Amino acid sequence: MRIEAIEIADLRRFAGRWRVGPFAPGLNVLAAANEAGKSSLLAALQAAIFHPHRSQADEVRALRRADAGHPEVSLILADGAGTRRITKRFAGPSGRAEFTDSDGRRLAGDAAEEELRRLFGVAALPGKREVPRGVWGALWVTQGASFAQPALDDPGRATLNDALAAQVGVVTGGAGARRIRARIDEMLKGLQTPTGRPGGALKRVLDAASAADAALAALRTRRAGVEALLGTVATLRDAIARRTAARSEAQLEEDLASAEATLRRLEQAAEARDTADRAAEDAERLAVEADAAVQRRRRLAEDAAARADAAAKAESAAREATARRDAAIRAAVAARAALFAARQARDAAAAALDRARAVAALPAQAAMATEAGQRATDADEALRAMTDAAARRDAIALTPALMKRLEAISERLAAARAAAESAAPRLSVTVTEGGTVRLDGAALTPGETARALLRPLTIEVPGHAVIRLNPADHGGTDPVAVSEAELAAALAQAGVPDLAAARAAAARREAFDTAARDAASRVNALAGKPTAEAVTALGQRAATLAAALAERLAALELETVPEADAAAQALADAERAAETARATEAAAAAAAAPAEAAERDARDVAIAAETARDAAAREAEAAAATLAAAREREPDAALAARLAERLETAAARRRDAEAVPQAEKTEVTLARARVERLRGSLKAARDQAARDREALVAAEAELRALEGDALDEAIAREEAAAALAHREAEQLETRRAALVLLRAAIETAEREATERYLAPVSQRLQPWLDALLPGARALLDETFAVTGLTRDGRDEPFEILSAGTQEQIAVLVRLAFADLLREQGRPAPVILDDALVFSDDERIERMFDILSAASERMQIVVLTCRTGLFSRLGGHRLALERVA
Amino acid sequence: MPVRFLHSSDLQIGRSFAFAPAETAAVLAAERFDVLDRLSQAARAAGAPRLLIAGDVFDGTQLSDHTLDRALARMAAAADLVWHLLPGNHDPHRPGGLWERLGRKGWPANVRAHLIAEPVPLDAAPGEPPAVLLPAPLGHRRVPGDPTGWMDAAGTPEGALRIGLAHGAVAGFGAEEGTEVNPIAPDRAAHAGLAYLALGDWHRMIRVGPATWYSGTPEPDRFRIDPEADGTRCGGGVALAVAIDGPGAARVERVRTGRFVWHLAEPMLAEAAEIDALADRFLAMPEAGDIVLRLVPRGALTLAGRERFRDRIEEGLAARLRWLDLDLAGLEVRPEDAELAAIDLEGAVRIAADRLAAIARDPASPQAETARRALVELWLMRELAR
Repeated sequence: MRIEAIEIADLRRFAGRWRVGPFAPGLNVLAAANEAGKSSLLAALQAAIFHPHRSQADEVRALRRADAGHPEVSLILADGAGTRRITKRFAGPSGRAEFTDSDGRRLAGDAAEEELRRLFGVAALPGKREVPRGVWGALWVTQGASFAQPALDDPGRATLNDALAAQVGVVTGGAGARRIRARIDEMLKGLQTPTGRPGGALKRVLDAASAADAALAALRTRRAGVEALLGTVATLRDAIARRTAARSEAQLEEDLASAEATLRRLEQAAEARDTADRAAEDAERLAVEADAAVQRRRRLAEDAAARADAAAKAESAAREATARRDAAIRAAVAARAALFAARQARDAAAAALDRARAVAALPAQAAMATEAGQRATDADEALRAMTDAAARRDAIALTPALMKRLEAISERLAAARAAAESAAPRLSVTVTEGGTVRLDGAALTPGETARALLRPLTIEVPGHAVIRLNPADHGGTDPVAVSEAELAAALAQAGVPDLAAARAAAARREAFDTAARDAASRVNALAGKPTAEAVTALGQRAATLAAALAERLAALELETVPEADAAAQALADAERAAETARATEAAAAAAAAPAEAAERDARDVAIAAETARDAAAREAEAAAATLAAAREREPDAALAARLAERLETAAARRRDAEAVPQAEKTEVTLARARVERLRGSLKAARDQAARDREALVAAEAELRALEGDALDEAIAREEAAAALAHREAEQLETRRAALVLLRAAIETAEREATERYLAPVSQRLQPWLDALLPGARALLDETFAVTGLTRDGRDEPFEILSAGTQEQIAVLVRLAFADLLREQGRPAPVILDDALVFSDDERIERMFDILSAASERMQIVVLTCRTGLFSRLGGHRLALERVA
Repeated sequence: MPVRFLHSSDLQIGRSFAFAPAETAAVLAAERFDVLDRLSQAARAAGAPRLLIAGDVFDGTQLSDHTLDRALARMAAAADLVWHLLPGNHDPHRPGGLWERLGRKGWPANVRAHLIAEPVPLDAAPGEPPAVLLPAPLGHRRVPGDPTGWMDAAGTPEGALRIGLAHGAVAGFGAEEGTEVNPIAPDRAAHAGLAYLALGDWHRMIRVGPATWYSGTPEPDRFRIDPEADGTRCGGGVALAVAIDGPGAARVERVRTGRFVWHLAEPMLAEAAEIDALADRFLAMPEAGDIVLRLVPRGALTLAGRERFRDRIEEGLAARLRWLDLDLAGLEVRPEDAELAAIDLEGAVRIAADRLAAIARDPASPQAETARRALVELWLMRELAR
């Protein structure tokens, strides 16, 4: 079935009767601006089919115009059986419906409605007046719904299922499978998370098992600690018992007591001997002290005698030294006087030498001053000559450049004249003998005379004729004239009458220039620079030298400069005198030095002798005083008696000590070492016992503290908890695995069944999809909804595709539905109202191609407001036309 | 008048029964105390003034004061009887350990702890001949040598009956020669001139010889079938009432003391009738409420059979017993085609069921067991598929 035409009257913005059509069997395009009534046309079409003629539903009311009248819709449909016309007038209770076909059959009212529904394969639901749209809801896309999935209601799916000759519930398992999956999902919710990890009760049990395992491990560790403590207690008790049984500590105590007694006895014996030895040593020390006192007294006496002798010797030596010092002083004074005189003579000779040298330098200085004055004079003269020559040269206006220019002009003039002459007519006059011919008044000599006619020429043959010849006038461009004028101007500039004068002037100028340069060279040679300032400086230097010479003469109190030879002789004499004076001084100095040294030595010796003498005297006096004082304290006889007594006492004490028996030192040392060793052993034994007791008490205390924890029972409880949790976890995990496997099996079976079931739709959709998105594959569910695309091996959910792609795929699915229905002998038009609004330029071109291709098999009606863009779509153009 | 006593062992007070659910474990643990009262009653009934507990009075050495106090209080309550306790391998006497701790608490007047291997005269009841107890306490979980070896040379008063009390494994009973822990010579009674050797360690009663007996635990505590019993019943649950008229004249009588009856069943199941018979058998037992059953079924069931097993055993029988410990590893599920059809005739669910059945039937598939479980789940949800 296809649409042939649609007529509407008094419907929304359409007042009066309007018509669209005829429609083409293939692609139809109604392109018009917004609010032209395109959507109203689709609404009218749907109302005519799906709403009864008496309907007052909102969709029907929305068709009415605001002013007046009742909307009316007529559909003219065609198929292989002929044409049919359906007309509905929506006027509420007074609405009407009519049906006619090409066979002349006419139906009205409900009969017409029933025939209409049969034709479109739809039926009202029980208790409902509006008819579900069925598959038409998927094929006819209203404005703004193009990118949505085709919304199939139950009748719609039923229609497609009829076309597929299948029943989805039977093929896929349908509701039963869904219910089972829902139940499985509900069960799994309690066992795992949405991502498949353990969750719910299973997670709780696994956590409990982990916690119990951890607690159990900790308890077992503590229990092992108890075992270790029990072992420690047993070991310690055993060690204590063994020590007690062995009496090791008591034996040590007894051995120590015995050793200590032995040691005490040995030490007492040693002490008695030591006391006696100390008394003998004390007496001996006193005797030694007395002996030392006697020795000291003897040394005092010897010392006093020696010092007195030394004092006498020092006195004698001091006297001898004083005499030698005085003699040396006198010799030194005489030597110093001779030296002084020699030095004065030397100074006088040196002064005479200095003056002789100054005088000898005067002739050279005077010559230098004279040379400088001459040089200044020469330089001044050369400077003047240079200045004069330059002035003369500069007074001549003819510069070398101007002269060069004059020569050039002259050459050009000569050339011009030569050229003019060679080009000028030649005048040849032959004067016969006797004849008279004058040229410009000058008579020609007989014979031939030839001239070039360069200027007006007057030939006079006296008495016969005066002939005037005029050469051609060049009007100011004559090269000769030009050069001549140029030459005249240059000569005027040079201030000379002609070229010869110019050349003479140039020669003069060059002579002056040469003279100036020569003078400058002289100035430069004399003054260093060819300038007046250099010459002036040269003069000043000459004046300075002259002044210096005068000053020198005045200083030497001379009026004239002596002769050089005389001055040189005077200088030689002075030098000899000076040398003699220096030699005399040296000899005097050489004679004075040993005398002065002998004086110094004699003085030092005298001082030392006097010092020694004084010291020896003091020491002799002190020694005598010390000896006297000692003898006053204890006379020599008393001292000797004390020594004798103490020696006797010491001998007696030593005899007493040797009478006391002496203990062996090794014996005492061994006894002491034994005592120390036994004390150490006893202490170690007691310390070990104490440590064992302490450790035992600590271990027992720790054991008692742990007893309250009832570790065996706690371990048993945790073992129970862990075992229970693990068992529960295993059971739950087993069940989870079973449910997951069951669900996977059902889903796999459903998916495979769905794919088989949807294969016809997929097969019809795929070519269009290949044209739009090469390589893509659409995924459909059993409701015919596209759930996504598979591209490049990846699944893309429908929701994440762009709006343009969603819209394009939705249109392709509609085309596939229509294809399927057509193949089942139930062709149905596809209507797209303002579809493809989200498509880019490239995609819409492809969609245009697809629609064009599809329209070869089905009727497609495109309603669009994008008149420009959709002009590229082609197809049969529709228009809304008022017919009444 | 003979010397009389009640011989018991392996009370293992403080045992946790960690392998059982918490509620059951608590009940089983509490029963270790209650059995003390039943032992007292049994002794009185036998006319015995004393009880000889041959080791493992306690299940461990680190127990709570509450556990220890509760046990001693129960013993003290039987003031007319004397309890002779011996450390075993579960509660060895170690320096600073459990028995010293009990000593610090103070032994009840009627409780004697035998911590040293030396002869101890038994307080003779009026008319009883003199008797000497030769205890062999264990100092560690494992001790080297025969702990009863010293008894041979132990001196006792002339004419006094010699009664041994020990804990260990008699060679040749349940273990290979030489591998026993704490081994005891089987002819110790004869060599040491014992009128009776009261042994502990085995949890079921065993007669080693006319004067050498294991009493077993008075309250069963493990799934181990008594080879001398019929059916599925496990050992333990009795004490021995002993009367000794003289050397070589011990009279031993078994006395029931246990409350819970432990069973271990490993039935082969294939038919629904077998499931019913199994359930009915245990349900018919008068002590069903005190039965602890470990059920390890083997065989293969259809989906329907597996559902019936769930209904009759997992739900029905489990609710009636004290505890049903199920191990289903050996029970397979083999769905039949008719059952798969009953799940769904066609469509995805049926396809899924067929595939799961194929996996379940493939013994080489690592997912076979999971697939069986999945089929059972699907079978139980089959109403949803319709």
